Parts: sequence; C-alpha cells; structure tokens
Amino acid sequence: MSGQAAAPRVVFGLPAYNRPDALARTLESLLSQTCDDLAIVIVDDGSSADARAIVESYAARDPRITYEPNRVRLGMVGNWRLAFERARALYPRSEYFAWASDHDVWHPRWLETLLPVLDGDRRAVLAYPHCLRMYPHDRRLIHGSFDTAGVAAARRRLKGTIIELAAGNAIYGLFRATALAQAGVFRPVLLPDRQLLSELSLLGEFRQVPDVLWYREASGPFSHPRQRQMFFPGRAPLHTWLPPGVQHAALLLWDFAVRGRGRPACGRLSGAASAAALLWYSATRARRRRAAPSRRPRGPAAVESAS
Amino acid sequence: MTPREQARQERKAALIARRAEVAIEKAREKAERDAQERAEAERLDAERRETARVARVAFDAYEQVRGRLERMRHADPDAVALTAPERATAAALEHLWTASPETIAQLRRWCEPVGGARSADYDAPSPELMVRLKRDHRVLRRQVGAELFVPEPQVLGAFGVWRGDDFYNEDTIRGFSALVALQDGAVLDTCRRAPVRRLVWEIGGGWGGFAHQFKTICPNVTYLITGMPTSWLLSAVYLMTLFPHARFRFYGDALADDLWADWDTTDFVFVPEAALAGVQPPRLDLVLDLGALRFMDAPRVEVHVRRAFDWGAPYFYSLLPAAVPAPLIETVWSRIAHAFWLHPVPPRAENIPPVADGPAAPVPGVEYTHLIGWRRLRA
Repeated sequence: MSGQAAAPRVVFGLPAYNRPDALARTLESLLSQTCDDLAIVIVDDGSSADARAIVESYAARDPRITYEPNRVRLGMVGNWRLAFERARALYPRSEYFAWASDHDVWHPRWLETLLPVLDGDRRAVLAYPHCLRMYPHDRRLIHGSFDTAGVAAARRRLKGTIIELAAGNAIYGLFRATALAQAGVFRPVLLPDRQLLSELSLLGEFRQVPDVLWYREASGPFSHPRQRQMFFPGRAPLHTWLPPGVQHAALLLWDFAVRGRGRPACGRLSGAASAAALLWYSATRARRRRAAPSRRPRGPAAVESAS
Repeated sequence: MTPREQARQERKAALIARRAEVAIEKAREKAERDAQERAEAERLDAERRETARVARVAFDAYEQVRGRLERMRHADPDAVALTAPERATAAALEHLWTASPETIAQLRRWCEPVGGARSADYDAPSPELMVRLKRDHRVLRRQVGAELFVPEPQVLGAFGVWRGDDFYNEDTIRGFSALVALQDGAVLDTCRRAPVRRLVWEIGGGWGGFAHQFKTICPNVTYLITGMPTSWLLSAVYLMTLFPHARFRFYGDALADDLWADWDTTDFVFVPEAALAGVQPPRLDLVLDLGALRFMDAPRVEVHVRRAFDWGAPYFYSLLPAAVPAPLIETVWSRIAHAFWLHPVPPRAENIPPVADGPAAPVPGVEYTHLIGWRRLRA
C-alpha cells in the first residue's frame, strides 16, 4: 500500500496503537468526509493482524489510504511525529495536516467546515470544532470555547492558549502544515500537545467553529506517570520529571530564542520573552486548577490531553 | 363690584371652567373607549374573516387531496400490510374521508391518532402538563435561543399555551427538540445554509407539523413525505393551508418518471409507501423519522433503511422514546445501524446527572432519544 502521486490538500496522519475494535468506525468517518480531497497515512505502533486486516480491507477499495507498520515500537510521541513526517514525505505539497486517532470519530462535515476557515485567512494556523465526549454508556457535549481570531498580540494568544485552551481537543484540529513544522511538531516532553499549541499560538491564530464535529472517546484517567509510560516505550527522559511548564518554556527558549525558528512571526528576543511568559502562565494555570479542583464532568475519564 | 362679589364671581368662573374640563375629559375618555371598542370589534371581525378564509382554503385543499387519494386508491389497490397500531390509526382517520367544512376548520383537533397532542388536554391544562411544557420550552430557549423555535400556527383549531409571545404545545416542543438535535448533530446546516436545493424525506409525515417547522427553518428544501395516504388528509391539507404558495406534487398526478421533473422548484412531494420502489429521487440529503418507524414491523423498517441508503442519504435521523425499549432496539435502532453509524445526540436539559461508570442514568425531563446516523461506506 503506497501513497498517491497526486497531492491532496489535506493529509490525516493516523498513529495507530492496538484499537482494532474501533479502527473501522474511525476510518469510515475519515473516508466519508464530504470534502474528499484528502489522504490518510496510518503508522501502526502496535501492529496486529486484526488492525492490518481492517486497514487492508479499506485500502483495497480506497487508494487514499497508506499503511505502514513500525518495526519497533516508538511510543506515542514518536509515533505522532512519524505520522507527520511520513505524511510530509508522501505528500510534500499538501497544505494542511491533521492527526487522527484510531478510536475517535470525525463528523462527515469536519473537513468541509474547517477547510474554508484556514483557506479564508492566512493568519489562522489551526481550525478546530467543538467536541462531543463518548463515554461507554453516555455522551456529552463539551461546552466552552477558545478562539484567538483577531488577536494580533502573540503574547495574548499564548496566554489564552496556556490558561484557557483544552489542548487535547484542539490537537486534533486542522493545521496549516508549514506552521506545524515550524512549531516543531510533537516533542518528547510531558503534555506535548500543550507544548506544541503554545509555540503554534505565537505563529498565528486559532479558530474554533461552532459546530460539534468531533466525537471523542473517553480514555483512561490522566496522570504524568501514565503519560511517561504511554509516550516513551523504554525509559522516559530525565527532563520529563520536571514540571511540564518548565519543559515547555525551555523548549520555546531553545526553538525561538536560540535557533530563531519562530521568525519572522516571532523574533529571538520576543521568543525569549515568550518563554518567560509561558513559565508564568503555566504557573498561573496550575494555581487556578488547584484552586478550582474540578468543574469537569465526573466519570471514568475527564482527560483533555491527546490520547 | 365689591371685592367680595368679585371673589365670588371668580370662584364661580373657576368652578365652571373645572366642570368644563371634566366634561371634556369624560368626552375624550368616552371617545377613546369607543375607538378601542371599534378597533377591538374590527380586530375580532378581521380574525373571524381570516379564520373563515383559512377554513375555506383548508377545505379547498381537503377536496383536492381527497380527490387525488380516491383516484389513487382505485388505481393502486396493493396497499402495504399495516401493523395493528397503524390499522388503528387508519380507522381513527376514516371519518376524514367524509369531512365537513366545520371538521376541516378544526383540523388540528383531529391529529391525535397520528402522534399529535390531545387537544382536550389544553382546554384546561393540568398543572403537570403546564410545568412540563414550560420547563421544556425554557430549557431549549435558554440553551439554544429562539432561532429554531417555530410556534404553533394559530389556525385550524390550534391549541396550546402561551409563554411571552410564544404559543406552543407538546407537538411544537417535540419538533423544536428534534430541530435542536439536528443542529447539535451538525446536520441541520446542510439543509439550512446550503447554496443548492436539498431533498429531505420524512417517513410517515405525521399530521404535517414537523414538515411545517422544518420547511419554515429550511425553506430551500424539497420535502418528500411517504407513508399511509389516509394521513395526507391531515398532513397535506395542513401544509397546503399554511404554505398556500408552495408547489405540491402527489404520486399519481404524473407518471412515476415525471414525479421529479422540476423537483427543485417543488416544495412538497407525497408518495404512498406502496409506490416507493419506483420513485427514486434525484438526490437525497436527509431522512427523518419522527416516530413512524417504531410502529412498523422489522422487515418494513429494513426496507425503508435500505432505500435511504440506496438513494444516497448521508444522514438518517430517528426520534425514539427516552428509555428506548428493547423491542425498538431490535426493530428500529439495530436496523438503522446496519446502514448508518448511529450517534445518539446528548439531551438538552437542566440538571443532567454526572457521567456514571455503569449505564447512563435517565435525565429528568427528557422524553426522547434523538439518533443521528451517518451513512456507512457499505450497508
């Protein structure tokens, strides 16, 4: 199974890991997009005969699917990075990228709705919808929104992203691929989705559409040890024992202030100041979360990070 | 004149002036009252004339529909094998074949057999009904706004309760909740904001209430109603009265091949269930089941679902009771799920209980389950 020669405008990178029970439903939701100018690149980190059979049955009828099982397990961070890298390698001219899980569900109108948002404004680097949470016996609309349309000050976008954004929902949005690459994709830190979105917020605006177009399966309870275990199959790097805000600020300092990767949108000096601001905002967020223990729906999973 | 006499004269003049003012005031008030009474009488007279006009329009529509149905009955004796509840419904509507103008003028009061609210409940609404109606109306209006609310039209014997400027009953609220569910399921906008004409199929069609609400919210759709022709004596007549300028087409008016000629300028199309096999529409954007499927047997449900899939419907909406009973899971839910990925739309309510590890607790005040199916790649 290999990618098409033609360049689709959108590529979904699907890092799969042991969910053959839900994979067919997810794949159908992606293949049923009313806007069909897309390709799906599946990198399988827990290659099972079942998952392979499911993908092959769809790929046989739909050449938009590419399936690549990993030879060695990479863990979640490595697999997410690989999904993006393979998508860029196979379709270098595609404009937009989105991660897809192997168990959530995309509304048929997801792409049709989000694509014009990014097409319509070069300042927007991410478009994402409202989300519905699927529990084993229940479903809930997730209220609350976050949007930085028209916010010209990068630091204000960063502050909002850190303090208000549900990163685990936004990370499954539609990205401008060049901006995503510039922000460094997924990094080996805790809360890598939040880290990525923080850097990305300095490069452009986030747009949220009012429709509920993404149905997210509830996953296990969130914890840092669980993330270390899921993200890093061997031993987690030492820096992952630091507070996530410190890890993220250090990366931002390195990326934007030292390497100058945020230019021209964000210069070196501005990058250094943003790294300091990130540290402060992260501490503010942590304080606020401690002060308001939980307003989320109680249940088996109240997680808003990538899964 | 002495000062004393002068003072008396002045007092007298002031008294006369005050009396004159009072008389003028009284005359003005009387004139205002008379004007109000005249205006009220004119308003009532206009209302009576409007009611009579609407009743005439409705009876004309009734005669047209009945004539068509009679021809159809003779031309197509192969009726669908109805289930017992459907036969009971048909029997309850039998009197409409010989309806008088007075009966048609009160059409809304005959809709109960096809799932309509009972008009007698609104003659002196019980406290429980009032509480329930006001709560449901308040929750939806607060959470969604007025945009999708279509009040009960005050024609043809309409009944309901008032809250502010909104007039509604249980049917109005059910339709409102269905429209909200379609919006929450991100399906409504495919019909509401689409630049091109859409085609929507309502299975059964009831008494036409939801068709009226949907067509009001999404005017740029062609609305296909299929099912038991007897019920068109309600639905078609109701819709022809409320949309006097709309274009209606009935199976049997034209050859099956011509049924869809100019479909995109036709507003409502009526086709009997028995004729469905030969009337493939040019497109299909949404299928609506406001409760018709649950009265059918499983094979007929399957035929409808299969037809929706074969005709290319991307979405299938179904309204079921809140706690879906096991037989309906088997006959309706699972049959739709063969061809569509089913997604229950979370209810709009106050005081939704927290998510539990086990089966979801019933949500107080929620009477319906709204299901939205997304077309599978293969049925």
